[in-house]
Amino acid sequence: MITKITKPKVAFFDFACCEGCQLAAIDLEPEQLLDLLNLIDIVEFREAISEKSDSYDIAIVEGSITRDSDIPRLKKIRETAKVLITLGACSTIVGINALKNFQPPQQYRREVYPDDPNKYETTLARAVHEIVAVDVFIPGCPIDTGEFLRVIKNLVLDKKPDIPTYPVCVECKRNENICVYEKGIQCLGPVIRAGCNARCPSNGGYCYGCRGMIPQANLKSQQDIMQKYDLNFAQMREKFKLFLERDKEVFPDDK
Amino acid sequence: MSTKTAEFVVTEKDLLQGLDKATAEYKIAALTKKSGRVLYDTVKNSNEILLEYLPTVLPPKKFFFPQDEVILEYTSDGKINAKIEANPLVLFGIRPCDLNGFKILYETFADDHGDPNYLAKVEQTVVIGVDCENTCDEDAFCFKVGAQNATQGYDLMLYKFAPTSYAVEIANDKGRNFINKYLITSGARGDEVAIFQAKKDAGFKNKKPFKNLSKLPELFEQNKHHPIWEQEGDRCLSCGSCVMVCPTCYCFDVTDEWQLNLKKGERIRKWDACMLDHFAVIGSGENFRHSPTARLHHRISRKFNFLMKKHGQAVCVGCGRCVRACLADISPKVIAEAVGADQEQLETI
Repeated sequence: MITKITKPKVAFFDFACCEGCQLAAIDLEPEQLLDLLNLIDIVEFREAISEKSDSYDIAIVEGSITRDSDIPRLKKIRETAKVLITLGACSTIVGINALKNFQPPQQYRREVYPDDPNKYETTLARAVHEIVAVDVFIPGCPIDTGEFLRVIKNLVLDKKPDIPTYPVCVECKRNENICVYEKGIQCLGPVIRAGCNARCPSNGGYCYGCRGMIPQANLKSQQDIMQKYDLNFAQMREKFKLFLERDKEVFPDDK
Repeated sequence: MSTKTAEFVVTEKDLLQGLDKATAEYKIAALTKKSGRVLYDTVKNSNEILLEYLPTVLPPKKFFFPQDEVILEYTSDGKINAKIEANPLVLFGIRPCDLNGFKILYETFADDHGDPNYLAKVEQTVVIGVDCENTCDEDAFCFKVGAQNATQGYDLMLYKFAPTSYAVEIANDKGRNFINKYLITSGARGDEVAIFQAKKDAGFKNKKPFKNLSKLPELFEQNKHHPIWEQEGDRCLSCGSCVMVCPTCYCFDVTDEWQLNLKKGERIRKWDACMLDHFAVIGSGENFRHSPTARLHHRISRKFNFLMKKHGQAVCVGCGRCVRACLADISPKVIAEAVGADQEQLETI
């Protein structure tokens, strides 16, 4: 029985990102949106309302930290919020924003702004947890709306949010998919966190790794299976680049 | 096998027509092909049924024990409703490996107080088995664990003794009623099963069980620290595929899902897997089986040791699904052989 619900004040913030995960969070049927607004009190959300607030219980942060000037803003958010949630790959594992980390700063500056490479402030792209403590990570590019809603419900009900720690293979098998490797295609599924219902492999694609690596991923074995299918690990590293630059098990460096 | 007899004979045409007639009362699930995949699924017409077996990713246990199942519905004002969904179903073309799986799962779910959801589904289902003349591919090792023949788990069993004719063995009243209502049959002469059996014997001529099949529990007990565990465990991806596709694995997790309005909720049980890292994590955060090796040892020992003693047969039925699914090529057969399943002279026993 539910006896008492306290309605938390929730603020959405974004850093370097496309804001698509925030859209996905409220990509709801009208009744669902009203139900969500009965559960939480949204006090700041650039994409949906004009109001701003300095007082909130839950901060939901989308985007990577790519400028030093982002850091005080993020720290202020952390100090204010009781619970900080990362929303999507950019804030959780950095992902696509970290592609630039493979290049020296002058190179990506020149590539993006050839006429005035130093005009904008930009530095190493980092995940939110590299700067401040994070309470809940919602992975994915984009996030799974159902997973976002489950996290919100769990927080409101004072339960621990449950994000899978197992890999995409579990969901492929449940869906009775033919293994992507059987088609001779590389798939990151065996080492990537599930929770997307194997969205890409179930629709003719392969896993790109947007939800990040599972804990205890067996990369040595992953390397061996590539050879078995006449695929090579160098190609696989290329595929890992899209989302996993910040995973120092795959790309060990001191950046 | 020699004791099996068929009362009736049915032609392929009459069999398929019978299944079509039965759609008035039952859903029909059988081996079929959908978007390039071979799987057990419901069919609208018997012409969608594949009569020759091809290996599937998932075993047919999903009809009794689905990937996700609502077991309870509840409301915020305290009403709780147990939910059991079971509808009339014909499960056609189930092979001996999976019938052995059904037997083992039935014993598991009927044990103690019984699992009402599982049992209700079994009750509502007519299982029509079809015997195999040979192994389905190189990965199958049903014959190693004595599961190439089934004696339970079905209501009717078919033996294809001639190109378009099946001998029908009736296991119980449910099977008999189905025949009376839907199948046009003729009386059997009496030698049909023997004719089929001769073909099966030829197909399995060089496919013998493990020499020490009945001693597997002792062998696994004595080889807890055999190097094979680490050798195989080191390669394990902990991806859970082997468990997901296993016809005798039955572990599940239970979660509560409130609707967004928090007025109604559902309790759902969904497949879980002991090969996954989180499986043995307890409240304090401790993980009882932290390494892939420990998890592999646990899983395979359930098949050939702990549960084998309980069920009186190997709880791995040799269907080969986990072997096909494992990207790292880990096989229960290889592990059993490593601990001496096929050894001529056992030194320690």
